[in-house]
Amino acid sequence: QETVSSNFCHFASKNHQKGKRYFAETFENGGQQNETSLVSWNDKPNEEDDGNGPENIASDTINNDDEEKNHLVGWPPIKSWRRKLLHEQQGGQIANDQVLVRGGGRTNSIYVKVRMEGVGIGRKIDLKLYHSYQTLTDTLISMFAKYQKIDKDGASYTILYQDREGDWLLARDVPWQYVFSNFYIHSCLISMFWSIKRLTLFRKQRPPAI
Amino acid sequence: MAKSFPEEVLEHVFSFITSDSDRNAVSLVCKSWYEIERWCRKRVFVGNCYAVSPRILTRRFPEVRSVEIKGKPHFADFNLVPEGWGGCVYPWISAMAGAYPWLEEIRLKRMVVSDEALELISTSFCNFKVLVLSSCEGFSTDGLASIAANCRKLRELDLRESEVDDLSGHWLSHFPDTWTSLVSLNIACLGSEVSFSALERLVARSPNLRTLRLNRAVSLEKLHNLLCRAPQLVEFGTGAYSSELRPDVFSNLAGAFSGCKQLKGLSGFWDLVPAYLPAIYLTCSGLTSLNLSYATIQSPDLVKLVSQCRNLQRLWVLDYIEDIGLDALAASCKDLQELRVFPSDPYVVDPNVSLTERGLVAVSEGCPKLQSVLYFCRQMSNAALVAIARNRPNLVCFRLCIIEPRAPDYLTLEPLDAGFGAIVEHCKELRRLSLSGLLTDRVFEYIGTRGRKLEMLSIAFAGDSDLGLHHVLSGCESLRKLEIRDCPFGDKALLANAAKLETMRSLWMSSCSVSFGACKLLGQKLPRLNVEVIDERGSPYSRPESCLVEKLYIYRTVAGPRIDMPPFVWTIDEDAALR
Repeated sequence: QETVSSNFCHFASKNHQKGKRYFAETFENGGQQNETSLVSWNDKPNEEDDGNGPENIASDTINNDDEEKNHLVGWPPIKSWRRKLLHEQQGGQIANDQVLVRGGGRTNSIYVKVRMEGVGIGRKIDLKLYHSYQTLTDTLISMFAKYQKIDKDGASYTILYQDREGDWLLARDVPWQYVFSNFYIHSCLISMFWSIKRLTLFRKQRPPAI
Repeated sequence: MAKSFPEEVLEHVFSFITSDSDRNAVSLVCKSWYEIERWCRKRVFVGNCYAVSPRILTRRFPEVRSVEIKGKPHFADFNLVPEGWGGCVYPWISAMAGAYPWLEEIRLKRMVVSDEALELISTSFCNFKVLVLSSCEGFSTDGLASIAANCRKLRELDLRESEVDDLSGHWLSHFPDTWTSLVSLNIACLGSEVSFSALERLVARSPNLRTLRLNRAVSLEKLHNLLCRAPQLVEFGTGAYSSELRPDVFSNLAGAFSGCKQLKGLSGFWDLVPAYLPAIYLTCSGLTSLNLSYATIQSPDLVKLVSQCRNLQRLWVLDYIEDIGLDALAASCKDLQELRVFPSDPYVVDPNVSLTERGLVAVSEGCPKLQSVLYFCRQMSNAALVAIARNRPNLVCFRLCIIEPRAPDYLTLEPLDAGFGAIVEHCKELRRLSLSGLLTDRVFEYIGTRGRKLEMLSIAFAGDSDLGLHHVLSGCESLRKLEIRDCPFGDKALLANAAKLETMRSLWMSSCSVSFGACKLLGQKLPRLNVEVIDERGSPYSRPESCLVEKLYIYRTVAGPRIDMPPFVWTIDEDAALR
């Protein structure tokens, strides 16, 4: 109990300094969750360069869940040195302050990659097509519904985005109209994760009441 | 009759027999032919380093001059084999250092090569000429320095795709100034900069240099210095092919390229800037091989380029070429034999380029000599596969990777069984096949019955049941290597076809449905197989036998169980029953 709280406090204070609100706070304020949720929060979600931030947490907290596989290892079958090169080439595009765009011209589309926790393959969407978080969320749900059974009603899901500093942040913290300016310079990996599973697991891990 | 023929004559006759399989056949005729043959075999290929031991090799063939050895299973390329699995070459070098003082050539693939091994090579073989390290790891530039310093007769140093601990570029300077026999140098995989002046001097004093593949660190402005000193080059790999556009740099480069009249192959082209592409235009008509798979240029530039390469036989390229570029390829390059299209954005299902099945169909129509295909794409249809099969019955290698696992025919939403079925039916010479997309057990029935010459088969996310695997193992007469991941194949098919496994080099299965109990049975029943379970969760003996194994690697061997297994590999032998 104590360890968990101290971890949590560490995060809370660190992030408050930056004015960012992390995953933990969302759930605490969401009312459904309590402080046991962050036992193994990885405070460096950007360790894996290819945007596996929140998934690292998933694999820590959901250790023995065979069904929720993360990354598909070795798929597509591309040799490691070529993977590194591709990764570099894509990162390079972003570093040049050009939004990842194909065909439509720079101001017409803003493509961002979307991953869903537990699904090995990502998707891509054009942010310009959406006007609110609700429409974005609805689209993402229907996109990923075929990979995982998604309960549209009771369950909650959260969209995180990765900002230019590589930090994972809660999308809803940013008013929609500011989304583009925030997203413009650094391409975002929006991660949509299935929080209800996480909530359930946290309940199981909850230490006995003192 | 064998006795009436003097040995020397037989030996002379055998010297014209170079293929390994022919040599093996010769050695089986009778005892004296076996003896004569083994004394005069100069070249040996070991397809699996654990199938035979160094001692068995050196005892049987005492006069070997050239050795090729392969280590890790193919899926190690895609991170499916855990670090530390094995494939260490040192014991081989150590044995050969004693047995083959006249050894000239060592070619290794997917092996762990330490600096100590490299040093031992450099000091043990006074006539050493050729070192090829393909997809190897475990060594640093210090090891390369030993090779450079000690191998006075070295002709070929090829590090293709190896992972080298790049401590510094200094190693190149260890080649003595008196050394002039270089024929082939491939350092494309190295990260750090080698001393350019040392490289220049090396090139200048190597009149026999035919192949030079530089690494990315060699800048474009310097290329002409090297090319001018080596106009006899046949294969050339550039470094980073980008620079601010400057007329003097451009004209130097173009001039240098045009001076290389024998140039047949080009590669490299990292960070390619299209403005500098025209510098190679004059070489295009002579090119037979072009590797643009590191170049992120778009299809208009690619079209301009390939349209000029009328004699192209091999093209490796990123999917930026798009269908439109492949149309141009099909129209211009009638000699094309091999095409590889790599994905520029492989981890996202949605396409970033307009490359579909149509491009491949176009190439299959337009290029009558097309034999070998590796194609990454996002949609495929049975109709397209059938068209490809009918257009190109001469296909020998067909590897298709549809990015999304289990993706169906995008037009009909059906499995791609019929399409791949057509491939194996029409392409009677097909030796290598990689499947992808939505596939049921039916496709394996087609493959088992029609894939008579198939030697290597790669399967991922396919099939419905054991029946699929059973079709493959009970058919496919020529099958040597089978690698499977994430398929619902299990015990029944394996146990029912256990004997087949002794006719193959190896079987890899990961994330399938094979139980430990079945592995034990196989290991006990077939002593000439090594049945190895790779499981990072801990000993499979500590769990019930019905538990599924993570990964399984089965291979035939005359060397018995491995003695160098890491903690996460368990071998099953006859004694397993006693545990």
